[in-house]
Amino acid sequence: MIHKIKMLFLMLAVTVVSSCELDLLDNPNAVTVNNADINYLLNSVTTGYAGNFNAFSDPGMRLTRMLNQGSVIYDNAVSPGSSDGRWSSSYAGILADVSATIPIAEKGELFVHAGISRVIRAMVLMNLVDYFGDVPYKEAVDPANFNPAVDKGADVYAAALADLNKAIEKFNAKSKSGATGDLYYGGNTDSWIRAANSLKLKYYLNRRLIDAAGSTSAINALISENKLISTNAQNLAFKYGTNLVNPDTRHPRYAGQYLPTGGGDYQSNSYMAQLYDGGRGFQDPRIRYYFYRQTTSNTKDVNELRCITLVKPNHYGAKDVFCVATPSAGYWGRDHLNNEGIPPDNLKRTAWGIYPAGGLYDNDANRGVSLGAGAGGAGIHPIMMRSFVDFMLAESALTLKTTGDARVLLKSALEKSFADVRSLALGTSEASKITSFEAEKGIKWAEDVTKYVDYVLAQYDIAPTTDAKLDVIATEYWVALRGNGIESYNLYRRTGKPSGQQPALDPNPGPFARSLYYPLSYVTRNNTAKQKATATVQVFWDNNPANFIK
Amino acid sequence: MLQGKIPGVSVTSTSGVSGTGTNIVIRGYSSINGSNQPLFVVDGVPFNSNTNQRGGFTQGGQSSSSRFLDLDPNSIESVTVLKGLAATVTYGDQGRNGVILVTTKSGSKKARKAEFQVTQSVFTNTAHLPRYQNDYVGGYQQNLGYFFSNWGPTIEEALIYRSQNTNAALTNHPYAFLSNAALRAGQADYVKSVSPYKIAVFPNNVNDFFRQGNIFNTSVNASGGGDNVSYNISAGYLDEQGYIPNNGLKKLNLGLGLNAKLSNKLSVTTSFSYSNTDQYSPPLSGGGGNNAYDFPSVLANVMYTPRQVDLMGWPYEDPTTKNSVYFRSGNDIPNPRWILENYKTTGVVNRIFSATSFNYQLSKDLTLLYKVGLDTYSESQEFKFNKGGVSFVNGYYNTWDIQNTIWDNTVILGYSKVLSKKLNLNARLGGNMRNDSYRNVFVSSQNQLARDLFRHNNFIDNVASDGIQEETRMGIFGEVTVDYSNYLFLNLAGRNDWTSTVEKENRRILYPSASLSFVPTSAFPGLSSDFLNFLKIRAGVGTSAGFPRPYQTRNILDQSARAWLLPSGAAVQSHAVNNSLGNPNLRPELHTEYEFGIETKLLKGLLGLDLTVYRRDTRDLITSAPLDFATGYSATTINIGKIRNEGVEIALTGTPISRPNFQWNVTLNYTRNAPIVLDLGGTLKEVQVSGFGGALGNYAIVGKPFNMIKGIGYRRNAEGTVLVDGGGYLVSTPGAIELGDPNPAFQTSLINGFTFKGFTFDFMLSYRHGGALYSSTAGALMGRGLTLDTGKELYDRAQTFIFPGVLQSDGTPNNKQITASDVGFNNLYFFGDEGRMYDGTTIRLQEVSIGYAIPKKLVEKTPFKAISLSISGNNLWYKALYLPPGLNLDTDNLGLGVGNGLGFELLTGPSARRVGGTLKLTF
Repeated sequence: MIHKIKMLFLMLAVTVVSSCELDLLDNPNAVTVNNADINYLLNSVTTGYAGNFNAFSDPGMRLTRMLNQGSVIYDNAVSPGSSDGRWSSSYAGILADVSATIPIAEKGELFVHAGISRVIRAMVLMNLVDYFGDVPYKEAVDPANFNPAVDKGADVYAAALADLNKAIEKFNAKSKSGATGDLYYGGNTDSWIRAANSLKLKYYLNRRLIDAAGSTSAINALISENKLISTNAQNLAFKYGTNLVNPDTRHPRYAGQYLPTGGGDYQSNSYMAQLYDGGRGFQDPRIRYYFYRQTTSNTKDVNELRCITLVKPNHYGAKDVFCVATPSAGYWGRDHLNNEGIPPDNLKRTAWGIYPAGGLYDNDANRGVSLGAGAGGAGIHPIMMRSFVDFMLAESALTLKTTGDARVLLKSALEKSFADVRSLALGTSEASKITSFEAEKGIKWAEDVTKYVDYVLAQYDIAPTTDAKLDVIATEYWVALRGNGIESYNLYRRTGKPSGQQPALDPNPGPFARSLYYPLSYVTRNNTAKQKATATVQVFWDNNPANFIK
Repeated sequence: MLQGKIPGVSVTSTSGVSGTGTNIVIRGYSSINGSNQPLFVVDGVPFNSNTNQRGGFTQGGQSSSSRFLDLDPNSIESVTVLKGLAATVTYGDQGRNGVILVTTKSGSKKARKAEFQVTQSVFTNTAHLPRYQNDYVGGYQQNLGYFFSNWGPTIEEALIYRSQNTNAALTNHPYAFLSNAALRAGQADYVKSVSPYKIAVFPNNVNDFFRQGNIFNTSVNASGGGDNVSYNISAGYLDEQGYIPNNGLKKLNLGLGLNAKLSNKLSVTTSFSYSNTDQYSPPLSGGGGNNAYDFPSVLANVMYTPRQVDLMGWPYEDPTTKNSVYFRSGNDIPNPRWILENYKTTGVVNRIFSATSFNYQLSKDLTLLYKVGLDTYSESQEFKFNKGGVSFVNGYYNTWDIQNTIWDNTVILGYSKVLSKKLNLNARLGGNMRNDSYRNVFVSSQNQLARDLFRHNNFIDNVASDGIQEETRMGIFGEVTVDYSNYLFLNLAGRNDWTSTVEKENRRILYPSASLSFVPTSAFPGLSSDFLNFLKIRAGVGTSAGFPRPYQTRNILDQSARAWLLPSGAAVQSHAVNNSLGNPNLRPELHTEYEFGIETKLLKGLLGLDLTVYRRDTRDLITSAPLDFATGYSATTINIGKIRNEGVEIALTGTPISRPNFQWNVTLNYTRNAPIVLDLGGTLKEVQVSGFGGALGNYAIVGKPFNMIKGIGYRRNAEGTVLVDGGGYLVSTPGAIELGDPNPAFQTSLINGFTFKGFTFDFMLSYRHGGALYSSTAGALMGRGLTLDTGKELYDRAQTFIFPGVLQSDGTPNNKQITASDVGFNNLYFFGDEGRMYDGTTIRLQEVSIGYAIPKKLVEKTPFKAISLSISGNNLWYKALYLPPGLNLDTDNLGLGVGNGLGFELLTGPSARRVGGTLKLTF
């Protein structure tokens, strides 16, 4: 009997188990890894960098007073939890996709694809080092190693340089086919070579503090090669569109602010003050492009702006603005390191303008922002513009005595900045509004630009020392960098300029963050990770003294 | 239904809103990311009890219902809960979280009387609301104005004080100050009609937003039959109104059961049920007291309506565009009444469930049982948002169509033999195969053309995604029970499973169990006395398995057909490496539980005790382990870690009075479960179980209780004193710190039942001790100055406050004075999470009921066989001992939705009180 049962049971088990399909392992809803398309992969890498740039640019803008920093002390402004997105976008986002792209591209002799991927990887690696210092690289992006160890910042930077060099080599090689779908340059290899060279310029300029000689010769080589970004078409910029959803192609700063209910970023009072007056006695012509005033006068209502009835804190200097950027004109953002709650000012506070966010041109409309207003979000991320190249060359000429006259370079940098701001704006649906407003008010753009450039050059000329001249260049670079916090943060740590930045609201905001804390996810998930004791840890190329900047 | 009745079983609702999901957890959480919900077995076959949530807790998931809602409570004959693994082993891996065995009237094997029964109940459904102060009105820093906050002066003060008495808000309607010119113009006529405006307090502005919902439930049941065939037919209809308008539930249940004895050897039992559940609600999603997080939620802004805002009286839409309008000048708060009218979510379920078993007597000792179950439902969920709101400005329409089917087949060979006079043997050998398939289509559309029309072709942008998921598990199991002389029982069982969700090498897992019980009072007859009537000692060890979700072992690519647009408008496609790393080495997890219990009856059965202690370990825990992004991936599913649950369950029953006409029964239940994370594989320091990205949430941390709450706290010096900045404010920590353990230390309930002639009177009190709670309602109402707790009687806002801390700059004692608004908004409740943490200790009057059955003698003269009537109330009263009393907040709330999160309340709805009566007529 027992035997019979055993047999029956065995038969049962065999029928049950074998008759049925247990092979349900491939996800029936997704593309498998073998089906990867090289063009599609490249699109992930190129669009991914827009997000990566924005994620890194944000704290850079806020720390350098290009945008309001909404924490009360520096330590909280660069908190570990706030950096997870930067880490994830860099490694799990772009570097993982680049690692998948390059072998396929190089095996198929699609060298343009490979080159573009390498340039973008180089930018990501430099962002990681510029913001975090020592980061995982050699052991990173490896599914077999869950605990990649850090490499020295200098080594990772060198890997970025190697990528740039390799990319240039690839761009010069004969490729089986181009990358016409490339969202930056449509696959134009000359422009990509210029972009790679301009990024090398940034590389060497950042390294100038620790290796002046090396940087000098390398920068001179770049200058003599004369393959840097120099025309508007060569600008390395990610271009946004106006589509609301599926996908949202609007500039992220625009998307977060141009709503029926407004809100979004607070502008920096001191940055606006620099454009409004800056000690010149006249406005920077770019002010109507950089900012859009939702109201053209300052509020008197404490319910809208609590500080309006307060007196300037004792630790603010005579030149420092407080509470508003100007006494009356409606340029109204926030002071440095202000973490107040949000009063009902969402349709009153100054908004992003047409450059670079693709918002409204400020024609004194005295009206709140709205969905789709202005250029509809068709702005750019100014990753590496021709004006930035000239500013860097000016700094290099002044400090390293590389080829070229710093004053001439400063002039061309300014002119390129004005031209690019203007051409972006006139290329949008706001163009007719700009021309009619200028006609109505008798504004002559070219004359205003000349007046501004002449003023700056005069300031440069009377600046008594190299340091003071550097301050003029750096201040103008800072203004031209609108929308690029990465280079602004590098500039501030490298030169300590612009000098005289607005102090924090609290007299004791702690020391300036010379790098960001490592992300919380990295520290809690990687057993080789060690959090920094403080955010005053300096990145490898920053050998300026502690407390050198505030 | 089960709440508090059974030790070790915890039942929590998402909120009091009708039809929202329910969490059931038995003996604690044993998995970090896997399901901790028990298996529902209805009439012997599995019943899907998922909660299909459309999004996370910040994306509107809280309005989804749980699928055991499809059961008709009136047609349930009995419910048995199997808690220990020793008892659930033959139910397979899904029995690891406990098994809830439901027998319906239709599935019952009992002999059926010819009977017809009608049950009608009527209940009211009301919300437990905060107690508001009505002195101070909206504003900030004692300055009158239209803010989110209510930190303004009293109206009397405003009229007197020179800084305030010219405030335009005193004499102008707030709609006169709308920043948007078109919106302002649209309200001009209304503003004119109420001019000159006189500011006033509207004490019932929040209360009037809620309503009394009515719940009607009708059910009929007919049964009958002869010796060989019997039947049961049931039908039920529920019409439930929620405590907010446009929220409710309609449900139709039909059931049919047949028992037939086909021959002397073969019998068959079959039950068949159909249900149609139609749930509708305005959207619900998490909020922190400052609009909803990422997704509209009708209740996100209601609870803290400033006292001078006439929520129910003022217009809520623009007369021409029909856009939302509300009191803040920037119009950045969606008007809750506008949401009520314009935003709807629905869930319609059609479900067929059938369970059939054949029983064949092979020989005297041997029976063969074959069971087949089919559970299939289609669920259609919709989000219907008109254009004109504050988020999804241009409208949003989302449909989610789900089809879920479970086929379950079981064959069991049963053997029963009396081996000797004293020795009895029962054995079962079985095989089971279960196949789950799931198919869904998800379509979202934005940019609505015509208002009020919800068809995807009435929207400009449509995005669709669909998918299928299939999972098969097979098992063979056996069980042997030996009974020696009715005092020694030994049970050995085991099950071997194969799953389709892992690679071939890891497919198989064997899990055995054993239990032994001994009844000394039967073994040694002398032991039994008038004092000790019965004593049973049991010990058991059980194991169970857990399988991963499908498709975790292989890598995939992310594909987007519209990743970007070229300036020409042409779409750009993308492929990217998916951030989840496939793990080919994934294998099932193993749960082991040791259990020991004593059961005794004393004093002629007047006193009874049932005590169980257990320890359950989960090893090779299947965890969606977050990876350092530097690996190139964000997570992988991997076998790491160990969680231990240790607990005690006590049920003490007593009958203090037992007379022919009067009886009093008392039951005291006690549950304590302590879950602790013992290991996370050595690399990970913590895993966020549920919550907001890198900060606030529930965490699994090695060496800590499971689900530890972490969030932003206040900075302290080495002595633990808070640090204060130059403005006199507390300074927040840069990252999340441990803020509390949400697991209650213990829970008890006291059930009293009295019977007197035909009357019964029952009431149940429950008590929860401890368990940390993060509350957005507390944060919003305390941080914005709404309730009695910050009212004139208890809190003088004119005073300044100094935090008892030291200055962070130099460590000297803080002497900086700040205002009431600063304390509430800028420090305790809106900057950092620590201020919103409370001890969740709560005492509650869970249930009261009075019943009366009309005596037989009287009924005999009527056409009825029996008539009974009962009046009952549920969740009538509670008091959270350590929360500000004005909040009147219920600590049992699942702000994070159904899942593994715990201890969060995110403004998703107050709890409900239900009172009503039931009439039962039997013909």
